[in-house]
Amino acid sequence: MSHDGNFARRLGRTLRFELSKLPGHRLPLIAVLAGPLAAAALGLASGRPEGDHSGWVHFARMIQSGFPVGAFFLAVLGAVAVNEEVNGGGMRATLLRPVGRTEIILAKLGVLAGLGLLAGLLVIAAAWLVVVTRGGFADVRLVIEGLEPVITFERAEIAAHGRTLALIGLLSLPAAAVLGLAVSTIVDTEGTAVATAAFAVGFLHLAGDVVESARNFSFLASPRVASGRLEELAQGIKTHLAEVEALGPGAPEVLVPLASLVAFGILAVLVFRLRNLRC
Amino acid sequence: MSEEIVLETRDLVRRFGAVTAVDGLSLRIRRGDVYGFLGLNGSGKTTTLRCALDLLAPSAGEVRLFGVASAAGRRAARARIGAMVEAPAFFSHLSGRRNLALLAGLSGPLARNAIDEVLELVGLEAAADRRAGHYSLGMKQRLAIALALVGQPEFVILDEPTNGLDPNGILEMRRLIQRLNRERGVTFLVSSHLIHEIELVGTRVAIIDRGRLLLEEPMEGLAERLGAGYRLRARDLPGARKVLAALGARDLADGDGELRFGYEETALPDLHAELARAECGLLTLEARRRSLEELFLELAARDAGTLT
Repeated sequence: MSHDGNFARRLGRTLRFELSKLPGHRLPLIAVLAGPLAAAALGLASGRPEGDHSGWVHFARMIQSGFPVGAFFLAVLGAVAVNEEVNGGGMRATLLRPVGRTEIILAKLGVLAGLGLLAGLLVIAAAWLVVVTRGGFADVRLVIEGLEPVITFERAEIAAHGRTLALIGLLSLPAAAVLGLAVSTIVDTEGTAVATAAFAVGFLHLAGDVVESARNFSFLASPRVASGRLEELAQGIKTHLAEVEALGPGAPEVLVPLASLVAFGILAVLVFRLRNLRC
Repeated sequence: MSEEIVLETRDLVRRFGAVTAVDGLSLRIRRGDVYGFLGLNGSGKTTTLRCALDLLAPSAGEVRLFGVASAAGRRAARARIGAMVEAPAFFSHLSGRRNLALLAGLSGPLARNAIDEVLELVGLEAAADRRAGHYSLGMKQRLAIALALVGQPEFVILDEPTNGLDPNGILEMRRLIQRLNRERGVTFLVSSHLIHEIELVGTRVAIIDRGRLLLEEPMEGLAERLGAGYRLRARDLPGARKVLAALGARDLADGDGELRFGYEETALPDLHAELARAECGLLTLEARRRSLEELFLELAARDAGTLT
Protein backbone atom coordinates (compact mmCIF):
# COMPACT_ATOMS: atom_id res chain seq x y z
CA MET A 1 0.00 0.00 0.00
CA SER A 2 2.67 2.49 -0.97
CA HIS A 3 1.02 5.76 -1.86
CA ASP A 4 3.28 8.72 -1.40
CA GLY A 5 3.98 10.29 -4.79
CA ASN A 6 5.58 13.64 -5.44
CA PHE A 7 4.72 16.88 -3.68
CA ALA A 8 2.22 18.00 -6.33
CA ARG A 9 0.32 14.71 -6.13
CA ARG A 10 0.25 14.79 -2.36
CA LEU A 11 -0.92 18.41 -2.44
CA GLY A 12 -3.65 17.54 -4.92
CA ARG A 13 -4.78 14.66 -2.73
CA THR A 14 -4.80 16.85 0.37
CA LEU A 15 -6.69 19.58 -1.49
CA ARG A 16 -9.39 17.08 -2.48
CA PHE A 17 -9.48 15.90 1.11
CA GLU A 18 -9.96 19.45 2.41
CA LEU A 19 -12.73 20.08 -0.12
CA SER A 20 -14.45 16.80 0.71
CA LYS A 21 -14.61 17.77 4.38
CA LEU A 22 -16.64 20.92 3.66
CA PRO A 23 -20.11 19.40 3.19
CA GLY A 24 -21.81 19.07 6.53
CA HIS A 25 -19.86 21.96 8.05
CA ARG A 26 -22.10 25.02 8.44
CA LEU A 27 -19.47 27.72 8.81
CA PRO A 28 -18.08 27.59 5.23
CA LEU A 29 -21.61 27.85 3.87
CA ILE A 30 -22.38 30.80 6.12
CA ALA A 31 -19.09 32.47 5.23
CA VAL A 32 -19.68 32.15 1.49
CA LEU A 33 -23.32 33.20 1.58
CA ALA A 34 -23.13 35.99 4.18
CA GLY A 35 -21.77 38.61 1.75
CA PRO A 36 -24.19 37.92 -1.12
CA LEU A 37 -27.12 37.72 1.29
CA ALA A 38 -26.14 41.02 2.94
CA ALA A 39 -25.82 42.68 -0.48
CA ALA A 40 -29.13 41.30 -1.69
CA ALA A 41 -30.92 42.08 1.56
CA LEU A 42 -29.73 45.69 1.52
CA GLY A 43 -30.70 46.04 -2.14
CA LEU A 44 -34.15 44.59 -1.63
CA ALA A 45 -34.85 46.38 1.63
CA SER A 46 -33.73 49.86 0.62
CA GLY A 47 -34.83 49.88 -2.99
CA ARG A 48 -33.16 52.05 -5.58
CA PRO A 49 -31.46 55.14 -4.16
CA GLU A 50 -32.93 58.56 -4.95
CA GLY A 51 -31.74 59.76 -8.33
CA ASP A 52 -30.54 56.38 -9.49
CA HIS A 53 -31.88 56.18 -13.01
CA SER A 54 -29.53 53.57 -14.37
CA GLY A 55 -29.34 50.86 -11.65
CA TRP A 56 -25.56 51.23 -11.37
CA VAL A 57 -25.63 53.25 -8.12
CA HIS A 58 -27.84 50.58 -6.61
CA PHE A 59 -25.42 47.92 -7.83
CA ALA A 60 -22.39 49.77 -6.44
CA ARG A 61 -23.95 50.26 -3.02
CA MET A 62 -24.86 46.59 -2.71
CA ILE A 63 -21.26 45.66 -3.48
CA GLN A 64 -20.10 48.16 -0.87
CA SER A 65 -22.21 46.39 1.76
CA GLY A 66 -21.66 42.81 0.61
CA PHE A 67 -17.86 42.80 0.54
CA PRO A 68 -17.20 43.86 4.16
CA VAL A 69 -19.78 41.41 5.51
CA GLY A 70 -18.29 38.63 3.39
CA ALA A 71 -14.77 39.60 4.51
CA PHE A 72 -15.79 39.42 8.16
CA PHE A 73 -17.30 35.92 7.91
CA LEU A 74 -14.47 34.61 5.74
CA ALA A 75 -11.92 35.87 8.24
CA VAL A 76 -13.85 34.08 10.99
CA LEU A 77 -13.88 30.89 8.88
CA GLY A 78 -10.13 31.16 8.39
CA ALA A 79 -9.57 31.89 12.07
CA VAL A 80 -10.82 28.45 13.11
CA ALA A 81 -9.41 26.48 10.18
CA VAL A 82 -6.34 25.19 12.01
CA ASN A 83 -6.91 25.52 15.75
CA GLU A 84 -10.35 23.87 15.62
CA GLU A 85 -8.80 20.78 14.06
CA VAL A 86 -5.80 20.82 16.37
CA ASN A 87 -8.05 21.05 19.43
CA GLY A 88 -10.65 18.59 18.10
CA GLY A 89 -8.18 15.92 16.98
CA GLY A 90 -8.89 16.15 13.24
CA MET A 91 -5.39 17.48 12.58
CA ARG A 92 -3.85 14.53 14.41
CA ALA A 93 -5.98 12.10 12.41
CA THR A 94 -4.76 13.77 9.21
CA LEU A 95 -1.09 13.84 10.23
CA LEU A 96 -1.19 10.12 10.97
CA ARG A 97 -1.62 9.64 7.23
CA PRO A 98 1.20 10.04 4.68
CA VAL A 99 0.80 13.80 4.26
CA GLY A 100 3.07 16.55 5.54
CA ARG A 101 2.26 19.76 7.33
CA THR A 102 3.16 21.87 4.29
CA GLU A 103 0.59 20.10 2.11
CA ILE A 104 -2.06 20.47 4.82
CA ILE A 105 -1.60 24.21 5.29
CA LEU A 106 -1.31 24.86 1.53
CA ALA A 107 -4.47 22.87 0.89
CA LYS A 108 -6.31 24.86 3.55
CA LEU A 109 -5.00 28.06 2.03
CA GLY A 110 -6.18 27.00 -1.41
CA VAL A 111 -9.63 26.06 -0.22
CA LEU A 112 -10.07 29.28 1.76
CA ALA A 113 -8.86 31.43 -1.14
CA GLY A 114 -11.25 29.57 -3.44
CA LEU A 115 -14.16 30.12 -1.07
CA GLY A 116 -13.22 33.81 -0.85
CA LEU A 117 -13.27 34.17 -4.64
CA LEU A 118 -16.57 32.33 -4.82
CA ALA A 119 -18.06 34.60 -2.14
CA GLY A 120 -16.88 37.70 -4.03
CA LEU A 121 -18.37 36.48 -7.31
CA LEU A 122 -21.62 35.68 -5.52
CA VAL A 123 -21.77 39.21 -4.03
CA ILE A 124 -21.45 40.65 -7.54
CA ALA A 125 -23.98 38.16 -8.89
CA ALA A 126 -26.46 38.88 -6.10
CA ALA A 127 -26.19 42.64 -6.66
CA TRP A 128 -26.57 42.17 -10.40
CA LEU A 129 -29.60 39.93 -9.93
CA VAL A 130 -31.34 42.39 -7.61
CA VAL A 131 -30.84 45.25 -10.07
CA VAL A 132 -32.02 43.13 -13.01
CA THR A 133 -35.19 42.14 -11.15
CA ARG A 134 -35.84 45.76 -10.13
CA GLY A 135 -35.80 47.62 -13.40
CA GLY A 136 -32.43 46.56 -14.78
CA PHE A 137 -29.42 48.56 -15.97
CA ALA A 138 -29.78 51.58 -18.25
CA ASP A 139 -27.79 54.52 -19.66
CA VAL A 140 -26.42 56.94 -17.09
CA ARG A 141 -28.25 60.24 -17.36
CA LEU A 142 -27.26 63.45 -15.64
CA VAL A 143 -30.52 65.07 -14.50
CA ILE A 144 -30.43 68.76 -13.69
CA GLU A 145 -33.65 70.48 -12.71
CA GLY A 146 -35.15 72.52 -15.50
CA LEU A 147 -32.88 71.01 -18.16
CA GLU A 148 -33.22 67.99 -20.41
CA PRO A 149 -31.42 64.94 -19.02
CA VAL A 150 -28.00 64.40 -20.58
CA ILE A 151 -26.73 60.90 -21.28
CA THR A 152 -23.31 60.79 -19.67
CA PHE A 153 -22.55 57.14 -20.37
CA GLU A 154 -24.14 54.76 -22.78
CA ARG A 155 -25.21 51.50 -21.17
CA ALA A 156 -22.41 49.49 -22.82
CA GLU A 157 -19.77 51.99 -21.68
CA ILE A 158 -20.84 52.09 -18.03
CA ALA A 159 -21.24 48.31 -18.08
CA ALA A 160 -17.60 47.95 -19.14
CA HIS A 161 -16.46 50.26 -16.32
CA GLY A 162 -18.88 48.54 -13.91
CA ARG A 163 -17.44 45.09 -14.59
CA THR A 164 -13.88 46.29 -14.08
CA LEU A 165 -14.70 48.15 -10.87
CA ALA A 166 -16.82 45.32 -9.44
CA LEU A 167 -14.08 42.76 -10.06
CA ILE A 168 -11.28 44.94 -8.72
CA GLY A 169 -11.98 44.21 -5.08
CA LEU A 170 -12.50 40.52 -5.66
CA LEU A 171 -9.14 39.49 -4.19
CA SER A 172 -9.94 41.22 -0.93
CA LEU A 173 -12.20 38.34 0.15
CA PRO A 174 -9.60 35.56 -0.31
CA ALA A 175 -7.15 37.87 1.48
CA ALA A 176 -9.57 38.16 4.43
CA ALA A 177 -9.97 34.38 4.61
CA VAL A 178 -6.20 33.84 4.50
CA LEU A 179 -5.70 36.57 7.13
CA GLY A 180 -7.97 34.45 9.32
CA LEU A 181 -5.91 31.36 8.51
CA ALA A 182 -2.71 33.11 9.58
CA VAL A 183 -4.38 34.08 12.86
CA SER A 184 -5.53 30.48 13.29
CA THR A 185 -1.96 29.21 13.11
CA ILE A 186 -0.82 31.74 15.72
CA VAL A 187 -3.71 31.75 18.22
CA ASP A 188 -4.56 28.35 19.70
CA THR A 189 -7.93 29.18 21.25
CA GLU A 190 -10.75 29.34 18.72
CA GLY A 191 -12.67 32.12 20.48
CA THR A 192 -9.61 34.34 20.78
CA ALA A 193 -8.66 33.66 17.16
CA VAL A 194 -12.13 34.64 15.96
CA ALA A 195 -12.05 37.83 18.03
CA THR A 196 -8.56 38.68 16.75
CA ALA A 197 -9.50 38.11 13.11
CA ALA A 198 -12.75 40.06 13.51
CA PHE A 199 -10.86 42.93 15.12
CA ALA A 200 -8.28 42.94 12.32
CA VAL A 201 -10.97 43.02 9.63
CA GLY A 202 -12.90 45.74 11.45
CA PHE A 203 -9.74 47.82 11.89
CA LEU A 204 -8.68 47.48 8.25
CA HIS A 205 -12.19 48.31 7.09
CA LEU A 206 -12.58 51.39 9.27
CA ALA A 207 -9.05 52.56 8.53
CA GLY A 208 -10.18 53.28 4.97
CA ASP A 209 -12.89 55.61 6.25
CA VAL A 210 -10.59 57.53 8.54
CA VAL A 211 -7.45 57.79 6.43
CA GLU A 212 -7.74 58.44 2.70
CA SER A 213 -4.39 56.77 2.02
CA ALA A 214 -5.61 53.58 3.72
CA ARG A 215 -6.05 51.98 0.34
CA ASN A 216 -2.28 51.74 0.23
CA PHE A 217 -2.23 49.26 3.06
CA SER A 218 -5.80 48.08 3.65
CA PHE A 219 -6.91 45.36 1.29
CA LEU A 220 -10.46 45.92 2.49
CA ALA A 221 -10.44 49.51 1.24
CA SER A 222 -10.01 48.32 -2.36
CA PRO A 223 -13.56 47.13 -3.05
CA ARG A 224 -14.97 50.20 -1.34
CA VAL A 225 -12.79 52.59 -3.34
CA ALA A 226 -13.62 50.77 -6.58
CA SER A 227 -17.37 50.63 -5.96
CA GLY A 228 -17.24 54.27 -4.80
CA ARG A 229 -15.78 55.22 -8.19
CA LEU A 230 -18.53 53.24 -9.88
CA GLU A 231 -21.15 55.09 -7.86
CA GLU A 232 -19.65 58.43 -8.90
CA LEU A 233 -19.65 57.43 -12.56
CA ALA A 234 -23.23 56.19 -12.21
CA GLN A 235 -24.22 59.60 -10.89
CA GLY A 236 -22.80 61.16 -14.01
CA ILE A 237 -19.62 62.44 -12.38
CA LYS A 238 -16.79 62.07 -14.85
CA THR A 239 -14.05 63.52 -12.68
CA HIS A 240 -12.34 60.20 -12.05
CA LEU A 241 -12.94 58.70 -15.47
CA ALA A 242 -9.28 58.90 -16.47
CA GLU A 243 -8.29 57.08 -13.27
CA VAL A 244 -10.90 54.41 -13.87
CA GLU A 245 -9.80 53.92 -17.45
CA ALA A 246 -6.19 53.65 -16.29
CA LEU A 247 -7.00 50.88 -13.81
CA GLY A 248 -5.09 47.74 -14.56
CA PRO A 249 -3.31 44.88 -12.85
CA GLY A 250 -0.75 47.34 -11.41
CA ALA A 251 -3.31 49.53 -9.64
CA PRO A 252 -3.12 49.66 -5.83
CA GLU A 253 -6.73 48.42 -5.67
CA VAL A 254 -5.54 45.19 -7.27
CA LEU A 255 -2.03 44.96 -5.92
CA VAL A 256 -2.82 45.58 -2.25
CA PRO A 257 -5.30 42.68 -1.89
CA LEU A 258 -3.00 40.44 -3.94
CA ALA A 259 0.05 41.36 -1.89
CA SER A 260 -1.96 40.89 1.33
CA LEU A 261 -3.16 37.48 0.18
CA VAL A 262 0.39 36.38 -0.60
CA ALA A 263 1.82 37.86 2.62
CA PHE A 264 -0.83 36.27 4.87
CA GLY A 265 -0.41 32.99 3.02
CA ILE A 266 3.35 32.97 3.53
CA LEU A 267 2.86 33.90 7.19
CA ALA A 268 0.36 31.05 7.70
CA VAL A 269 2.64 28.47 6.07
CA LEU A 270 5.73 29.62 7.95
CA VAL A 271 4.05 29.79 11.35
CA PHE A 272 2.36 26.42 10.87
CA ARG A 273 5.64 24.79 9.86
CA LEU A 274 7.82 26.49 12.44
CA ARG A 275 5.47 26.14 15.40
CA ASN A 276 5.12 22.43 14.70
CA LEU A 277 1.84 22.56 16.63
CA ARG A 278 1.31 19.80 19.14
CA CYS A 279 -1.41 17.60 17.63
CA MET B 1 9.45 -14.72 13.79
CA SER B 2 11.16 -12.43 11.30
CA GLU B 3 13.93 -10.10 12.41
CA GLU B 4 12.69 -7.22 10.23
CA ILE B 5 12.37 -4.15 12.43
CA VAL B 6 9.22 -2.16 11.71
CA LEU B 7 9.83 0.55 14.28
CA GLU B 8 13.00 1.48 16.03
CA THR B 9 13.81 4.37 18.31
CA ARG B 10 17.43 5.11 19.10
CA ASP B 11 18.23 7.16 22.21
CA LEU B 12 14.99 9.07 21.77
CA VAL B 13 14.70 12.17 23.92
CA ARG B 14 11.79 14.58 24.17
CA ARG B 15 11.83 17.52 26.53
CA PHE B 16 9.05 19.95 27.37
CA GLY B 17 10.88 22.89 28.89
CA ALA B 18 12.63 21.60 31.98
CA VAL B 19 10.70 18.32 31.96
CA THR B 20 12.19 15.34 30.16
CA ALA B 21 9.24 13.20 29.09
CA VAL B 22 11.29 10.66 27.12
CA ASP B 23 14.82 10.07 28.23
CA GLY B 24 17.11 8.16 25.87
CA LEU B 25 14.58 5.51 24.90
CA SER B 26 15.65 2.75 22.51
CA LEU B 27 12.96 0.33 21.33
CA ARG B 28 12.90 -2.28 18.55
CA ILE B 29 9.60 -3.69 17.34
CA ARG B 30 10.00 -6.66 15.02
CA ARG B 31 7.58 -7.71 12.31
CA GLY B 32 4.99 -10.07 13.76
CA ASP B 33 5.29 -8.79 17.32
CA VAL B 34 2.40 -7.81 19.51
CA TYR B 35 4.55 -5.41 21.43
CA GLY B 36 3.18 -4.36 24.79
CA PHE B 37 4.31 -0.91 25.82
CA LEU B 38 3.67 -0.59 29.53
CA GLY B 39 3.98 2.35 31.83
CA LEU B 40 2.03 4.22 34.45
CA ASN B 41 0.11 7.30 33.39
CA GLY B 42 2.58 10.08 32.65
CA SER B 43 5.51 7.71 32.11
CA GLY B 44 6.13 8.93 28.54
CA LYS B 45 4.33 6.26 26.47
CA THR B 46 2.16 8.62 24.43
CA THR B 47 5.00 11.10 23.92
CA THR B 48 7.14 8.25 22.56
CA LEU B 49 4.38 7.21 20.17
CA ARG B 50 3.82 10.79 19.05
CA CYS B 51 7.52 11.13 18.28
CA ALA B 52 7.47 7.80 16.43
CA LEU B 53 4.61 9.06 14.27
CA ASP B 54 6.06 12.55 13.66
CA LEU B 55 3.26 14.25 15.56
CA LEU B 56 5.99 15.62 17.76
CA ALA B 57 9.60 16.36 16.92
CA PRO B 58 12.11 14.58 19.18
CA SER B 59 14.58 16.75 21.09
CA ALA B 60 17.28 14.20 20.28
CA GLY B 61 17.64 10.68 18.99
CA GLU B 62 16.32 8.92 15.93
CA VAL B 63 13.14 7.18 14.79
CA ARG B 64 13.17 4.58 12.02
CA LEU B 65 9.94 3.34 10.45
CA PHE B 66 10.43 0.21 8.34
CA GLY B 67 14.15 0.94 8.51
CA VAL B 68 13.81 4.49 7.13
CA ALA B 69 15.10 7.40 9.17
CA SER B 70 14.48 10.38 6.86
CA ALA B 71 11.38 12.51 7.47
CA ALA B 72 10.19 12.02 3.89
CA GLY B 73 10.71 8.27 4.14
CA ARG B 74 8.80 8.07 7.40
CA ARG B 75 5.98 10.11 5.91
CA ALA B 76 5.74 7.67 3.00
CA ALA B 77 5.93 4.73 5.41
CA ARG B 78 2.86 6.03 7.24
CA ALA B 79 0.82 4.68 4.31
CA ARG B 80 1.73 1.22 5.63
CA ILE B 81 0.69 1.80 9.21
CA GLY B 82 -2.48 2.51 11.12
CA ALA B 83 -2.44 4.37 14.40
CA MET B 84 -4.59 5.59 17.21
CA VAL B 85 -2.75 7.90 19.57
CA GLU B 86 -4.16 9.52 22.68
CA ALA B 87 -7.87 10.32 22.45
CA PRO B 88 -9.90 9.23 19.41
CA ALA B 89 -9.30 11.77 16.64
CA PHE B 90 -11.54 12.48 13.66
CA PHE B 91 -13.89 15.09 12.21
CA SER B 92 -16.98 15.35 14.35
CA HIS B 93 -19.19 16.94 11.66
CA LEU B 94 -18.75 13.94 9.35
CA SER B 95 -20.26 10.49 9.70
CA GLY B 96 -18.15 7.57 10.85
CA ARG B 97 -18.18 6.13 7.33
CA ARG B 98 -17.18 9.45 5.74
CA ASN B 99 -14.34 9.87 8.25
CA LEU B 100 -13.02 6.44 7.36
CA ALA B 101 -13.30 7.03 3.62
CA LEU B 102 -11.65 10.46 3.65
CA LEU B 103 -8.83 9.75 6.08
CA ALA B 104 -8.01 6.32 4.68
CA GLY B 105 -8.14 7.83 1.20
CA LEU B 106 -5.10 9.91 2.13
CA SER B 107 -3.10 6.68 2.45
CA GLY B 108 -4.09 5.34 -0.94
CA PRO B 109 -6.90 3.74 -2.91
CA LEU B 110 -9.09 1.42 -0.87
CA ALA B 111 -10.54 -1.94 -1.77
CA ARG B 112 -14.25 -1.76 -2.57
CA ASN B 113 -15.44 -3.30 0.70
CA ALA B 114 -12.66 -2.00 2.93
CA ILE B 115 -14.85 0.47 4.83
CA ASP B 116 -17.74 -1.97 5.40
CA GLU B 117 -15.30 -4.66 6.47
CA VAL B 118 -13.62 -2.55 9.10
CA LEU B 119 -16.94 -1.15 10.33
CA GLU B 120 -18.16 -4.69 10.84
CA LEU B 121 -14.90 -5.62 12.52
CA VAL B 122 -15.39 -2.97 15.22
CA GLY B 123 -19.17 -3.35 15.37
CA LEU B 124 -20.09 0.10 14.09
CA GLU B 125 -22.14 -0.85 10.98
CA ALA B 126 -25.43 0.35 12.44
CA ALA B 127 -24.07 3.76 13.44
CA ALA B 128 -21.79 4.24 10.45
CA ASP B 129 -23.88 6.98 8.85
CA ARG B 130 -24.44 8.99 11.99
CA ARG B 131 -22.37 12.07 12.74
CA ALA B 132 -19.24 10.97 14.60
CA GLY B 133 -19.61 13.89 16.99
CA HIS B 134 -22.80 12.28 18.31
CA TYR B 135 -21.11 8.97 19.13
CA SER B 136 -20.70 7.73 22.70
CA LEU B 137 -17.20 7.46 24.15
CA GLY B 138 -17.05 3.73 23.38
CA MET B 139 -18.22 4.29 19.81
CA LYS B 140 -15.63 7.01 19.31
CA GLN B 141 -12.98 4.59 20.51
CA ARG B 142 -14.24 1.96 18.08
CA LEU B 143 -14.19 4.45 15.22
CA ALA B 144 -10.61 5.43 16.08
CA ILE B 145 -9.64 1.75 16.07
CA ALA B 146 -11.43 1.30 12.74
CA LEU B 147 -9.42 4.23 11.39
CA ALA B 148 -6.22 2.52 12.52
CA LEU B 149 -7.22 -0.76 10.88
CA VAL B 150 -8.73 0.41 7.60
CA GLY B 151 -6.69 -0.29 4.47
CA GLN B 152 -5.01 -3.43 5.83
CA PRO B 153 -1.96 -1.80 7.43
CA GLU B 154 1.12 -3.91 8.12
CA PHE B 155 1.79 -2.25 11.44
CA VAL B 156 -0.78 -0.89 13.89
CA ILE B 157 -0.07 1.38 16.83
CA LEU B 158 -2.79 1.53 19.47
CA ASP B 159 -2.41 3.85 22.43
CA GLU B 160 -4.53 2.66 25.37
CA PRO B 161 -7.02 0.99 23.02
CA THR B 162 -9.38 -0.25 25.73
CA ASN B 163 -10.07 3.19 27.18
CA GLY B 164 -13.80 3.80 27.09
CA LEU B 165 -14.65 0.23 26.05
CA ASP B 166 -17.01 -1.94 28.11
CA PRO B 167 -15.81 -5.39 29.26
CA ASN B 168 -17.29 -6.99 26.16
CA GLY B 169 -15.55 -4.45 23.96
CA ILE B 170 -12.26 -5.08 25.73
CA LEU B 171 -12.59 -8.80 25.10
CA GLU B 172 -13.43 -8.19 21.42
CA MET B 173 -10.47 -5.87 21.09
CA ARG B 174 -8.14 -8.47 22.51
CA ARG B 175 -9.48 -11.14 20.14
CA LEU B 176 -9.21 -8.75 17.20
CA ILE B 177 -5.54 -8.02 17.90
CA GLN B 178 -4.78 -11.72 18.26
CA ARG B 179 -6.69 -12.64 15.12
CA LEU B 180 -5.15 -9.95 12.91
CA ASN B 181 -1.70 -10.82 14.21
CA ARG B 182 -2.18 -14.54 13.65
CA GLU B 183 -4.11 -14.52 10.36
CA ARG B 184 -2.76 -11.46 8.58
CA GLY B 185 0.60 -11.12 10.27
CA VAL B 186 -0.15 -7.56 11.40
CA THR B 187 2.44 -6.21 13.82
CA PHE B 188 0.99 -4.37 16.81
CA LEU B 189 2.38 -1.88 19.25
CA VAL B 190 -0.11 -1.58 22.09
CA SER B 191 0.48 0.86 24.91
CA SER B 192 -1.30 0.48 28.21
CA HIS B 193 -1.02 1.16 31.91
CA LEU B 194 -2.81 -2.14 32.61
CA ILE B 195 -0.40 -5.04 32.92
CA HIS B 196 -3.13 -7.65 32.61
CA GLU B 197 -4.22 -6.27 29.25
CA ILE B 198 -0.74 -6.56 27.81
CA GLU B 199 -0.10 -9.93 29.39
CA LEU B 200 -3.06 -11.44 27.53
CA VAL B 201 -2.14 -10.29 24.03
CA GLY B 202 1.55 -9.39 24.01
CA THR B 203 4.43 -11.42 22.66
CA ARG B 204 7.04 -8.94 23.83
CA VAL B 205 6.91 -6.22 26.42
CA ALA B 206 8.69 -3.00 27.29
CA ILE B 207 8.17 -1.14 30.53
CA ILE B 208 9.02 2.52 30.86
CA ASP B 209 9.01 4.88 33.78
CA ARG B 210 9.71 8.61 33.64
CA GLY B 211 10.69 8.21 30.02
CA ARG B 212 13.34 5.58 30.70
CA LEU B 213 13.26 1.98 29.58
CA LEU B 214 13.16 -0.27 32.63
CA LEU B 215 12.74 -3.59 30.90
CA GLU B 216 12.27 -5.10 27.47
CA GLU B 217 11.84 -8.84 27.11
CA PRO B 218 9.57 -11.62 25.78
CA MET B 219 6.23 -11.88 27.55
CA GLU B 220 7.20 -15.13 29.28
CA GLY B 221 9.85 -13.27 31.25
CA LEU B 222 7.32 -10.77 32.52
CA ALA B 223 4.96 -13.57 33.57
CA GLU B 224 7.74 -15.09 35.65
CA ARG B 225 8.54 -11.77 37.28
CA LEU B 226 4.94 -11.15 38.18
CA GLY B 227 4.16 -14.61 39.48
CA ALA B 228 7.25 -15.22 41.57
CA GLY B 229 5.96 -13.69 44.77
CA TYR B 230 4.29 -14.71 48.03
CA ARG B 231 2.46 -12.94 50.82
CA LEU B 232 2.53 -14.06 54.42
CA ARG B 233 0.41 -13.06 57.41
CA ALA B 234 1.38 -14.14 60.92
CA ARG B 235 0.73 -13.17 64.52
CA ASP B 236 4.44 -12.48 64.99
CA LEU B 237 5.42 -10.61 61.83
CA PRO B 238 8.87 -9.45 63.06
CA GLY B 239 9.69 -13.05 63.98
CA ALA B 240 8.53 -14.27 60.57
CA ARG B 241 10.60 -11.54 58.93
CA LYS B 242 13.74 -12.79 60.70
CA VAL B 243 13.07 -16.34 59.49
CA LEU B 244 12.51 -15.19 55.90
CA ALA B 245 15.66 -13.05 55.96
CA ALA B 246 17.65 -15.94 57.36
CA LEU B 247 16.39 -18.27 54.59
CA GLY B 248 17.35 -15.77 51.91
CA ALA B 249 13.88 -14.64 50.73
CA ARG B 250 14.12 -12.18 47.82
CA ASP B 251 12.67 -8.67 47.68
CA LEU B 252 11.41 -8.90 51.26
CA ALA B 253 8.98 -6.05 51.94
CA ASP B 254 6.48 -5.04 54.63
CA GLY B 255 2.95 -4.66 53.33
CA ASP B 256 -0.38 -3.85 54.87
CA GLY B 257 -0.13 -6.21 57.91
CA GLU B 258 1.75 -8.75 55.82
CA LEU B 259 5.15 -9.60 54.41
CA ARG B 260 5.79 -9.85 50.67
CA PHE B 261 8.71 -11.75 49.28
CA GLY B 262 10.03 -13.92 46.51
CA TYR B 263 10.95 -17.57 47.10
CA GLU B 264 11.70 -20.79 45.30
CA GLU B 265 8.51 -22.81 45.05
CA THR B 266 10.29 -26.12 45.67
CA ALA B 267 11.70 -24.84 48.96
CA LEU B 268 8.33 -23.83 50.39
CA PRO B 269 7.96 -26.94 52.65
CA ASP B 270 11.24 -26.00 54.37
CA LEU B 271 9.98 -22.45 54.85
CA HIS B 272 6.79 -23.78 56.44
CA ALA B 273 8.82 -25.94 58.79
CA GLU B 274 11.13 -23.08 59.82
CA LEU B 275 8.21 -20.74 60.50
CA ALA B 276 6.53 -23.41 62.65
CA ARG B 277 9.79 -24.01 64.53
CA ALA B 278 10.11 -20.26 65.27
CA GLU B 279 6.49 -20.21 66.54
CA CYS B 280 5.53 -17.22 64.45
CA GLY B 281 1.82 -18.02 64.52
CA LEU B 282 1.48 -18.38 60.74
CA LEU B 283 -2.00 -17.33 59.57
CA THR B 284 -1.73 -17.44 55.77
CA LEU B 285 0.97 -18.04 53.16
CA GLU B 286 -0.20 -17.62 49.61
CA ALA B 287 1.14 -16.98 46.15
CA ARG B 288 0.59 -13.47 44.96
CA ARG B 289 0.97 -11.60 41.71
CA ARG B 290 2.79 -8.37 41.86
CA SER B 291 1.00 -5.32 40.57
CA LEU B 292 2.48 -3.18 37.85
CA GLU B 293 3.14 -0.48 40.44
CA GLU B 294 5.20 -2.87 42.54
CA LEU B 295 7.10 -4.09 39.52
CA PHE B 296 7.77 -0.48 38.56
CA LEU B 297 9.05 0.29 42.05
CA GLU B 298 11.31 -2.72 41.98
CA LEU B 299 12.59 -2.03 38.47
CA ALA B 300 12.94 1.68 39.15
CA ALA B 301 14.92 0.98 42.34
CA ARG B 302 17.14 -1.39 40.39
CA ASP B 303 17.51 1.24 37.64
CA ALA B 304 18.45 3.89 40.22
CA GLY B 305 20.97 1.44 41.67
CA THR B 306 22.67 1.04 38.34
CA LEU B 307 22.86 4.79 37.96
CA THR B 308 24.47 5.50 41.30
